[in-house]
Amino acid sequence: MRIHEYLEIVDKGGGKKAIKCIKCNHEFCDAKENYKEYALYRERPLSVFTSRKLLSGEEPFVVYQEYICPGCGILLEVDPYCELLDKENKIVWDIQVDV
Amino acid sequence: MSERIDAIKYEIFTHRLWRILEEGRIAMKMVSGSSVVVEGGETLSCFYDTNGVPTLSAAGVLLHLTGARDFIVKCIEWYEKDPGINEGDQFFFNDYYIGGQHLADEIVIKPIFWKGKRVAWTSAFMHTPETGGVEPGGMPVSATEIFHEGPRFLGLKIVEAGKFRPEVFKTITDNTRDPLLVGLDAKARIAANNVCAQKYLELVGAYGIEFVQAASKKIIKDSEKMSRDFLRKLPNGTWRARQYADTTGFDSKPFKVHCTMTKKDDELTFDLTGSSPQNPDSINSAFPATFGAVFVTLASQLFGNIPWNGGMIAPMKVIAPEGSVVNPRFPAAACQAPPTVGEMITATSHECVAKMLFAAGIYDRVNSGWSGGNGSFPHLGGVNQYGDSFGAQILDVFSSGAGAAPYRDGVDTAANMMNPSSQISDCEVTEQNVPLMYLQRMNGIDSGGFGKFDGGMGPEHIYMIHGGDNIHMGNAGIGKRAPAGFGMFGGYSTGLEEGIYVKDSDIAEMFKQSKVPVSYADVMKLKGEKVFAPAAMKVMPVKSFDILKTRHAGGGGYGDPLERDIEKVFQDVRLHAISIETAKEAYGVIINPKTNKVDNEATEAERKRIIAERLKEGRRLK
Repeated sequence: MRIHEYLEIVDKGGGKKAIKCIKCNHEFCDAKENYKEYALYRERPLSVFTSRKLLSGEEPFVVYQEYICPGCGILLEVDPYCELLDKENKIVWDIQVDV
Repeated sequence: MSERIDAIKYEIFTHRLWRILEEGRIAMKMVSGSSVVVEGGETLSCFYDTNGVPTLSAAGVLLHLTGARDFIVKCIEWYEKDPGINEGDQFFFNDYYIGGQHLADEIVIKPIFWKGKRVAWTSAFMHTPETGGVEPGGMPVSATEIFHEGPRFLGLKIVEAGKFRPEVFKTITDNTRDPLLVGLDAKARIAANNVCAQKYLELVGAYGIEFVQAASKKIIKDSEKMSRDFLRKLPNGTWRARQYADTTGFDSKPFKVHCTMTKKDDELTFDLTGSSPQNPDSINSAFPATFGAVFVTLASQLFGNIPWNGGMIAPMKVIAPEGSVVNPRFPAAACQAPPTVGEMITATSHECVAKMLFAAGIYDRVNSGWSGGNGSFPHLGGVNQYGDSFGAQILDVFSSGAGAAPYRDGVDTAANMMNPSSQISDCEVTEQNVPLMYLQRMNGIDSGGFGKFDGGMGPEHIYMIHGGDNIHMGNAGIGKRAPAGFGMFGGYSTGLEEGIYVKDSDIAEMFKQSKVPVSYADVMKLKGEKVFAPAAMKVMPVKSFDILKTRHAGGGGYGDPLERDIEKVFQDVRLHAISIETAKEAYGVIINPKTNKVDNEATEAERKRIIAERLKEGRRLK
């Protein structure tokens, strides 16, 4: 079952299912878990892109959270993240399909 | 009765009913003089059963489809016994703690009688340009209580037994800075209701009251069945999304909306628990507005082919904690709800729905976030070029960019999701009505989200005050210090909104050289006091030749930008959709500015370098 542009849930037999990368077949985790916790993670300021710098010189409230496939380096998801508000709730579990 | 309804007769009846409602919308546009209605299309006509359950709607602004019903429920509860709801009556409301989004959303409801018995209701809903609040333009961003936003109207009989009541009309219009436009809007609603009620009764004459009422019930029942049947085809599960934004003023603070969507069999729950506590400013969304904002997602993304009525929303539940930005306690201000928290609720529920639809394999309904913020959305008022009092909003934000999809880029300057039938405002009409001139309107470079498929571009504008020196101007919205529209599956979120005022500008000197500013760089070169506006800013005095430059976000991107076709990136640069810097930074595409060609070897190396950097810098969380 494809749940994401680059991720699918595959049957491993014995009643077990896993989330895998469609590009490189990297296995992230059991289908009942959050794939983001098993991805490579980095934070980057919005200013890594020249066009996202504010002319006022103000800093945005957020940074980019980038989730990357450890197998092939494809970018899986980019979430804005505000540490001031969500230090304790850093990662959004965006896809939790009943399996 | 419904089981015995002839299918063909029913289809013809349903279509005629919908056409009547479209006629109601046309009537509103013909009578109103405000650009938010005539061009922006912020109108709703709707029929309801005797108790206020929507039978069929035509819109307009999708936000209002659910927001209108509770006015009828309250009208019955409050006025059925005293002074009574009688044939020929029409009631005027605007309180957003009952329905609608903010006080500028005014509605007139009319009971429809047949042989002395109330058989249905109709309503005409429109956004009006002025409410008489502490700032002009109907969205006074500095309000901290609903009482600062203008008078609340709680069911004034603007028409009684078929007789127009001038004293009620004058009370409504003369409590604002723009009695002419507000008055035309009030009459437009009455006209639309008269059209809809008259045509409805013609249908009753043609089909018989028994058929009309049975068919109306069937429309509601069929919508619910279609909604539930469709939901059963989708996978069960939970999807989550959050969005951040900035509050009003130069000392703006971050806040958030969090949405957890749970789909189980044929039920869908949107739980907004986790959203920030209510803001002390006017960036909040009262519960009716919150419900409407979720409905925007359902109507435009999930159930687009199902008749919009009470049946369609029967499988849906919205949980919004009291005291939060999505359900503030009365009398908290919320006049900025539609372009702020409302957009965030729509965006987060949309992200959940899009990912659910993807998991169901329904790719043609999947798209990333549309511009979900509308920051730097100007409002102004004072004395216009004709010497008359006025208040207005400039609605160019209705041409925001749309999100990218799994197989295509997002549409440039498309529409706002809450108002997909809108048109971009006509510059000439705006200049005629408001003491303001357009010096520039264009697609904003780099405004869309980067991705395998790009988000559509949002608009940029340069406005110049012209023809008045007793004017106050400010702006509403979010999206400056946190992107408003979401990217998806490796695509980046939208660009940032930004507005710059130049007060006491020397633009007249530029005109003498037969030049006009067309970019931020040009505006920054002007002499004068530069004010970098927050996304929402209370009004300040402006005068002729003062300048406002705005940039609006586009749509969100879809997929890893490194997967974007190199030739497409090159064309994006050529067409000024993205800059040459963005081509390198986001897409790893190197363009030689001297030859104006892609350096394929350098591009291949850059893309490999970016992948290697991701793998090196990324750390494992578990």
